[in-house]
Amino acid sequence: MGENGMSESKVKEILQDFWKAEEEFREIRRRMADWDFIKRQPLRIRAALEYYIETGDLYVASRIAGVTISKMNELRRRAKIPNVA
Amino acid sequence: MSLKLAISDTCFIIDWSYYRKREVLIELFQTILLPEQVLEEVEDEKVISWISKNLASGKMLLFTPSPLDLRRAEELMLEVATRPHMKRIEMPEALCLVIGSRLNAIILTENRGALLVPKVMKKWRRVKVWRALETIKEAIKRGYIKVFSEEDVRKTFREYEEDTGHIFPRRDLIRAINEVLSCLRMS
Repeated sequence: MGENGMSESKVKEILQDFWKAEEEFREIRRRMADWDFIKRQPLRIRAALEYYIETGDLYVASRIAGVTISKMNELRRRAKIPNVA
Repeated sequence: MSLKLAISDTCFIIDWSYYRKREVLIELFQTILLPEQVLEEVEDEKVISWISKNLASGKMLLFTPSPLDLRRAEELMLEVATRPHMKRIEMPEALCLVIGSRLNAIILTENRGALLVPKVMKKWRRVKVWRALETIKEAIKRGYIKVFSEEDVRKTFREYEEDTGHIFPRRDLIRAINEVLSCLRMS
């Protein structure tokens, strides 16, 4: 049994499903993003939007951009990147 | 009857503020805790005015983490970071998990790393983490969002996606819709 009372194979299955879904969500973000908008942004904002596309993590993206989470969310929406969760 | 306590991270509350049925959150819980850092991260007028109104009415409560909460959140964040195959979480999500666990509050977040923690870490197994998907699902099941047909149910989830630029994972969405239909005996 694994540490959480589930079999190790069950935990492994959960993690495999999780990372498979992560890849699917990343593809959705990449596909739907407005890349022209992203490429026109200043370096930090562009890096933050690209980070968000890769990870879906708005908090860290906002720190990269040097803006609040609220502002980062607005940039995400303007860049047409969906929040997949 | 409304649920007692929830604690929301910044990303969840910002997105939720754009939802046309956002008041449902206020009906669903007696009190929604907002870690103090949330206010520092919000600058959109629509979001600020909604949060301020609910802080004034007492439906939302500004919550200052204790030094112990901060230390435990830091420990959790580092534990997750050093485990193989886990998705990292940052301080805001770790804090919500720690405070939510301590106060038996439902944790509202869209952070996928935070969603994974109770699924695979024993110490956190009893913690409840809800995304907007689970929040809407529970709001319909408990009658805070009125639906009269299967199309109404689908429309309710679709409206959230439209209002917030959100996409619910299709598999999770189908499961949630079926659960609601079964609960309301519409299937």
